[in-house]
Amino acid sequence: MSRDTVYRRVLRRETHSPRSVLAIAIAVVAFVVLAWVGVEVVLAILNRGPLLVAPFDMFSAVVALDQAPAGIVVPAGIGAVVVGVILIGMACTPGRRARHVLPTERVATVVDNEVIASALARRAARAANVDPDNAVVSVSHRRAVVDVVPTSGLPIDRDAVHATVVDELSSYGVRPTVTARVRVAQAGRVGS
Amino acid sequence: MSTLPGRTRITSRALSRVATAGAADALGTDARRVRIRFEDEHGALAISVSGPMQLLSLDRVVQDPALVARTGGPLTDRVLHVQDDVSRRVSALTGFVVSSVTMRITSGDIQGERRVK
Repeated sequence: MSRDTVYRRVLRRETHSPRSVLAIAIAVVAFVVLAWVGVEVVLAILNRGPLLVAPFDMFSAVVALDQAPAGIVVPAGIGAVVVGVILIGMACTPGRRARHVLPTERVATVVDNEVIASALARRAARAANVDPDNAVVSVSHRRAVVDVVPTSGLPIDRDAVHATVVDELSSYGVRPTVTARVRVAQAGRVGS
Repeated sequence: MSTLPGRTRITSRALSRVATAGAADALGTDARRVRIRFEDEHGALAISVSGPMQLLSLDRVVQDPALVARTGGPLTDRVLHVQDDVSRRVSALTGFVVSSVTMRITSGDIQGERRVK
Protein backbone atom coordinates (compact mmCIF):
# COMPACT_ATOMS: atom_id res chain seq x y z
CA MET A 1 0.00 0.00 0.00
CA SER A 2 1.40 3.40 -0.92
CA ARG A 3 1.74 6.15 1.62
CA ASP A 4 -1.07 8.21 0.10
CA THR A 5 -3.49 5.33 0.38
CA VAL A 6 -2.57 4.82 4.02
CA TYR A 7 -2.97 8.53 4.73
CA ARG A 8 -6.31 8.62 2.99
CA ARG A 9 -7.54 5.74 5.07
CA VAL A 10 -6.22 7.20 8.30
CA LEU A 11 -7.81 10.58 7.58
CA ARG A 12 -11.12 8.96 6.71
CA ARG A 13 -10.99 7.02 9.97
CA GLU A 14 -10.11 10.07 12.01
CA THR A 15 -12.82 12.27 10.56
CA HIS A 16 -15.64 9.74 10.71
CA SER A 17 -17.18 7.86 13.56
CA PRO A 18 -16.50 4.11 13.34
CA ARG A 19 -19.92 3.31 14.87
CA SER A 20 -18.18 0.45 16.63
CA VAL A 21 -19.96 0.97 19.96
CA LEU A 22 -23.32 0.64 18.26
CA ALA A 23 -22.23 -2.34 16.19
CA ILE A 24 -20.85 -4.15 19.25
CA ALA A 25 -23.99 -3.41 21.27
CA ILE A 26 -26.25 -4.80 18.55
CA ALA A 27 -24.02 -7.85 18.11
CA VAL A 28 -24.18 -8.55 21.86
CA VAL A 29 -27.99 -8.21 21.89
CA ALA A 30 -28.34 -10.50 18.86
CA PHE A 31 -25.95 -13.02 20.43
CA VAL A 32 -27.88 -13.15 23.71
CA VAL A 33 -31.27 -13.46 21.99
CA LEU A 34 -30.13 -16.20 19.59
CA ALA A 35 -28.40 -18.13 22.39
CA TRP A 36 -31.58 -17.99 24.44
CA VAL A 37 -33.75 -19.18 21.53
CA GLY A 38 -31.30 -22.04 20.95
CA VAL A 39 -31.45 -23.06 24.58
CA GLU A 40 -35.26 -23.00 24.49
CA VAL A 41 -35.30 -25.21 21.39
CA VAL A 42 -32.93 -27.74 22.97
CA LEU A 43 -34.97 -27.77 26.20
CA ALA A 44 -38.16 -28.37 24.19
CA ILE A 45 -36.54 -31.26 22.31
CA LEU A 46 -35.43 -32.79 25.62
CA ASN A 47 -38.97 -32.33 26.96
CA ARG A 48 -37.78 -30.16 29.82
CA GLY A 49 -39.60 -27.09 31.14
CA PRO A 50 -38.81 -23.81 29.31
CA LEU A 51 -36.52 -21.07 30.71
CA LEU A 52 -39.03 -18.34 29.85
CA VAL A 53 -41.23 -19.37 26.92
CA ALA A 54 -41.41 -22.66 25.01
CA PRO A 55 -40.79 -22.31 21.21
CA PHE A 56 -44.31 -23.53 20.36
CA ASP A 57 -45.87 -20.86 22.61
CA MET A 58 -43.67 -18.20 20.95
CA PHE A 59 -45.00 -19.05 17.49
CA SER A 60 -48.63 -19.29 18.56
CA ALA A 61 -48.32 -15.90 20.31
CA VAL A 62 -46.95 -14.33 17.12
CA VAL A 63 -49.76 -15.85 15.05
CA ALA A 64 -52.38 -14.64 17.54
CA LEU A 65 -50.87 -11.12 17.73
CA ASP A 66 -54.15 -9.46 16.66
CA GLN A 67 -55.86 -10.86 19.77
CA ALA A 68 -53.22 -9.56 22.15
CA PRO A 69 -54.18 -6.43 24.18
CA ALA A 70 -53.57 -3.30 22.10
CA GLY A 71 -52.21 -1.55 25.19
CA ILE A 72 -49.06 -3.67 24.96
CA VAL A 73 -48.78 -4.33 21.23
CA VAL A 74 -49.04 -0.69 20.07
CA PRO A 75 -46.35 0.76 22.36
CA ALA A 76 -44.08 -2.19 21.63
CA GLY A 77 -44.59 -1.68 17.89
CA ILE A 78 -43.88 2.03 18.16
CA GLY A 79 -40.75 1.29 20.16
CA ALA A 80 -39.54 -1.16 17.54
CA VAL A 81 -40.18 1.35 14.74
CA VAL A 82 -38.25 4.08 16.59
CA VAL A 83 -35.27 1.80 17.24
CA GLY A 84 -35.34 0.67 13.63
CA VAL A 85 -35.43 4.20 12.24
CA ILE A 86 -32.53 5.22 14.51
CA LEU A 87 -30.48 2.25 13.39
CA ILE A 88 -31.19 2.87 9.69
CA GLY A 89 -30.27 6.53 10.21
CA MET A 90 -27.00 5.61 11.89
CA ALA A 91 -26.22 3.18 9.10
CA CYS A 92 -26.85 5.65 6.28
CA THR A 93 -25.47 8.93 7.68
CA PRO A 94 -21.75 9.56 7.29
CA GLY A 95 -21.17 9.90 11.04
CA ARG A 96 -18.81 12.79 10.70
CA ARG A 97 -16.74 13.87 13.62
CA ALA A 98 -16.27 17.57 14.37
CA ARG A 99 -12.93 17.63 12.59
CA HIS A 100 -11.33 18.88 9.43
CA VAL A 101 -8.33 17.79 7.43
CA LEU A 102 -5.39 20.14 6.96
CA PRO A 103 -3.32 19.67 3.84
CA THR A 104 0.32 19.13 4.75
CA GLU A 105 3.15 17.69 2.75
CA ARG A 106 4.71 15.16 5.05
CA VAL A 107 2.05 14.09 7.51
CA ALA A 108 -1.68 13.60 7.67
CA THR A 109 -3.15 16.37 9.85
CA VAL A 110 -6.54 16.42 11.47
CA VAL A 111 -7.84 19.50 13.32
CA ASP A 112 -10.72 19.68 15.75
CA ASN A 113 -13.36 22.23 14.83
CA GLU A 114 -12.88 24.03 18.15
CA VAL A 115 -9.27 24.70 17.24
CA ILE A 116 -10.29 26.31 13.97
CA ALA A 117 -12.99 28.25 15.81
CA SER A 118 -10.66 29.68 18.44
CA ALA A 119 -8.08 30.65 15.84
CA LEU A 120 -10.77 32.40 13.82
CA ALA A 121 -12.19 34.08 16.93
CA ARG A 122 -8.85 35.66 17.72
CA ARG A 123 -8.49 37.06 14.23
CA ALA A 124 -12.10 38.21 14.13
CA ALA A 125 -11.80 39.97 17.50
CA ARG A 126 -8.78 41.85 16.29
CA ALA A 127 -10.40 42.78 12.99
CA ALA A 128 -13.57 43.97 14.73
CA ASN A 129 -11.56 45.76 17.41
CA VAL A 130 -13.50 44.10 20.21
CA ASP A 131 -12.43 42.23 23.30
CA PRO A 132 -11.67 38.54 22.59
CA ASP A 133 -14.54 37.69 24.94
CA ASN A 134 -16.96 39.41 22.57
CA ALA A 135 -16.16 37.35 19.49
CA VAL A 136 -17.59 33.85 19.46
CA VAL A 137 -17.10 31.46 16.57
CA SER A 138 -18.71 28.11 15.98
CA VAL A 139 -17.41 25.87 13.24
CA SER A 140 -19.39 23.05 11.73
CA HIS A 141 -18.71 20.80 8.77
CA ARG A 142 -19.23 23.45 6.11
CA ARG A 143 -19.82 26.66 7.98
CA ALA A 144 -18.15 29.02 10.39
CA VAL A 145 -20.44 31.45 12.16
CA VAL A 146 -18.76 34.44 13.76
CA ASP A 147 -20.78 36.33 16.37
CA VAL A 148 -19.41 39.70 17.36
CA VAL A 149 -20.76 41.97 20.08
CA PRO A 150 -19.66 45.55 19.45
CA THR A 151 -18.44 47.96 22.06
CA SER A 152 -21.06 50.68 22.48
CA GLY A 153 -20.02 53.64 20.37
CA LEU A 154 -17.58 51.76 18.16
CA PRO A 155 -19.35 50.56 15.03
CA ILE A 156 -18.04 47.35 13.48
CA ASP A 157 -17.28 47.08 9.81
CA ARG A 158 -18.97 43.75 9.14
CA ASP A 159 -17.54 43.37 5.66
CA ALA A 160 -14.00 43.97 6.88
CA VAL A 161 -14.41 41.31 9.57
CA HIS A 162 -15.88 38.96 6.99
CA ALA A 163 -12.98 39.57 4.63
CA THR A 164 -10.47 38.90 7.40
CA VAL A 165 -12.18 35.68 8.42
CA VAL A 166 -12.42 34.46 4.81
CA ASP A 167 -8.78 35.31 4.31
CA GLU A 168 -7.78 33.44 7.43
CA LEU A 169 -9.88 30.42 6.49
CA SER A 170 -8.41 30.21 3.01
CA SER A 171 -4.90 30.40 4.49
CA TYR A 172 -5.65 27.28 6.54
CA GLY A 173 -7.00 25.45 3.52
CA VAL A 174 -9.07 23.03 5.58
CA ARG A 175 -10.96 20.28 3.84
CA PRO A 176 -13.88 20.25 3.36
CA THR A 177 -13.93 23.99 2.76
CA VAL A 178 -15.75 26.15 5.26
CA THR A 179 -17.75 29.25 4.38
CA ALA A 180 -17.77 32.11 6.85
CA ARG A 181 -20.69 34.12 8.09
CA VAL A 182 -20.32 37.16 10.34
CA ARG A 183 -23.11 38.36 12.57
CA VAL A 184 -22.81 41.63 14.45
CA ALA A 185 -25.06 41.88 17.49
CA GLN A 186 -27.65 44.66 17.43
CA ALA A 187 -26.93 45.72 20.99
CA GLY A 188 -23.42 46.58 22.04
CA ARG A 189 -21.76 46.36 25.41
CA VAL A 190 -20.76 49.50 27.27
CA GLY A 191 -17.09 49.83 28.08
CA SER A 192 -16.00 46.43 26.82
CA MET B 1 -6.40 51.78 13.57
CA SER B 2 -2.70 51.28 14.09
CA THR B 3 -0.86 48.49 12.34
CA LEU B 4 0.54 47.13 15.59
CA PRO B 5 -1.52 44.34 17.07
CA GLY B 6 -3.22 45.21 20.31
CA ARG B 7 -6.32 46.83 21.54
CA THR B 8 -7.23 49.81 23.66
CA ARG B 9 -10.11 49.26 25.94
CA ILE B 10 -11.88 52.18 27.56
CA THR B 11 -13.67 50.83 30.59
CA SER B 12 -17.01 52.22 31.62
CA ARG B 13 -15.34 53.59 34.73
CA ALA B 14 -12.92 55.66 32.68
CA LEU B 15 -15.72 56.67 30.35
CA SER B 16 -17.74 57.75 33.34
CA ARG B 17 -14.95 59.97 34.65
CA VAL B 18 -14.52 61.65 31.30
CA ALA B 19 -18.22 62.29 30.89
CA THR B 20 -18.69 63.43 34.48
CA ALA B 21 -15.90 65.99 34.20
CA GLY B 22 -17.23 67.25 30.88
CA ALA B 23 -20.80 67.50 32.09
CA ALA B 24 -19.84 69.19 35.35
CA ASP B 25 -17.84 71.74 33.43
CA ALA B 26 -20.68 72.41 31.01
CA LEU B 27 -23.26 72.64 33.79
CA GLY B 28 -21.05 74.94 35.83
CA THR B 29 -21.13 72.70 38.86
CA ASP B 30 -18.91 70.37 40.83
CA ALA B 31 -18.12 66.93 39.37
CA ARG B 32 -19.20 65.24 42.60
CA ARG B 33 -22.78 66.41 42.08
CA VAL B 34 -23.11 65.04 38.58
CA ARG B 35 -24.31 61.49 37.91
CA ILE B 36 -23.66 59.78 34.59
CA ARG B 37 -25.16 56.60 33.23
CA PHE B 38 -24.30 54.82 30.02
CA GLU B 39 -26.47 52.60 27.99
CA ASP B 40 -26.23 50.91 24.65
CA GLU B 41 -28.43 52.18 21.85
CA HIS B 42 -28.13 49.86 18.83
CA GLY B 43 -24.38 49.77 19.16
CA ALA B 44 -23.95 53.47 19.88
CA LEU B 45 -23.46 55.08 23.25
CA ALA B 46 -26.38 56.70 25.03
CA ILE B 47 -25.47 58.97 27.94
CA SER B 48 -27.77 60.08 30.74
CA VAL B 49 -26.64 63.07 32.75
CA SER B 50 -28.26 64.19 35.94
CA GLY B 51 -27.06 67.07 38.06
CA PRO B 52 -27.72 70.61 39.18
CA MET B 53 -27.50 73.65 37.00
CA GLN B 54 -26.65 77.25 37.73
CA LEU B 55 -29.67 79.50 37.62
CA LEU B 56 -30.19 83.23 37.90
CA SER B 57 -32.15 84.60 40.76
CA LEU B 58 -35.53 85.88 39.59
CA ASP B 59 -35.07 89.16 41.47
CA ARG B 60 -32.09 89.98 39.35
CA VAL B 61 -33.86 89.01 36.11
CA VAL B 62 -36.69 91.39 37.03
CA GLN B 63 -34.18 94.15 37.67
CA ASP B 64 -32.28 93.52 34.47
CA PRO B 65 -34.17 91.65 31.68
CA ALA B 66 -31.13 91.62 29.43
CA LEU B 67 -29.34 89.39 31.94
CA VAL B 68 -30.93 86.21 30.58
CA ALA B 69 -29.58 86.74 27.10
CA ARG B 70 -26.20 87.66 28.49
CA THR B 71 -25.83 84.47 30.52
CA GLY B 72 -26.57 82.04 27.73
CA GLY B 73 -30.26 82.50 27.07
CA PRO B 74 -33.25 80.67 28.52
CA LEU B 75 -32.78 77.51 30.55
CA THR B 76 -33.86 75.17 27.72
CA ASP B 77 -31.28 76.70 25.39
CA ARG B 78 -28.60 76.28 27.99
CA VAL B 79 -29.54 72.65 28.58
CA LEU B 80 -29.35 71.99 24.85
CA HIS B 81 -25.97 73.60 24.81
CA VAL B 82 -24.77 71.39 27.68
CA GLN B 83 -26.15 68.33 25.93
CA ASP B 84 -24.25 69.16 22.79
CA ASP B 85 -21.15 69.92 24.79
CA VAL B 86 -21.18 66.57 26.65
CA SER B 87 -21.70 64.68 23.41
CA ARG B 88 -18.86 66.49 21.68
CA ARG B 89 -16.45 66.11 24.58
CA VAL B 90 -17.04 62.39 25.00
CA SER B 91 -16.74 61.80 21.25
CA ALA B 92 -13.59 63.84 21.01
CA LEU B 93 -11.86 62.20 23.95
CA THR B 94 -12.85 58.59 23.37
CA GLY B 95 -13.74 58.38 19.69
CA PHE B 96 -17.05 56.77 20.51
CA VAL B 97 -20.23 57.42 18.58
CA VAL B 98 -22.66 59.10 20.96
CA SER B 99 -26.23 58.59 19.85
CA SER B 100 -28.04 60.51 22.54
CA VAL B 101 -27.54 62.54 25.67
CA THR B 102 -30.44 62.63 28.08
CA MET B 103 -30.33 65.59 30.45
CA ARG B 104 -31.94 65.61 33.82
CA ILE B 105 -31.57 68.78 35.83
CA THR B 106 -32.10 67.77 39.43
CA SER B 107 -31.74 71.16 41.11
CA GLY B 108 -30.75 74.75 40.52
CA ASP B 109 -27.88 76.63 42.07
CA ILE B 110 -28.88 80.25 42.32
CA GLN B 111 -25.89 82.43 41.94
CA GLY B 112 -25.12 85.99 41.12
CA GLU B 113 -23.58 86.98 37.82
CA ARG B 114 -19.85 86.69 38.20
CA ARG B 115 -17.71 89.62 37.37
CA VAL B 116 -15.06 89.28 34.73
CA LYS B 117 -11.78 89.08 36.55
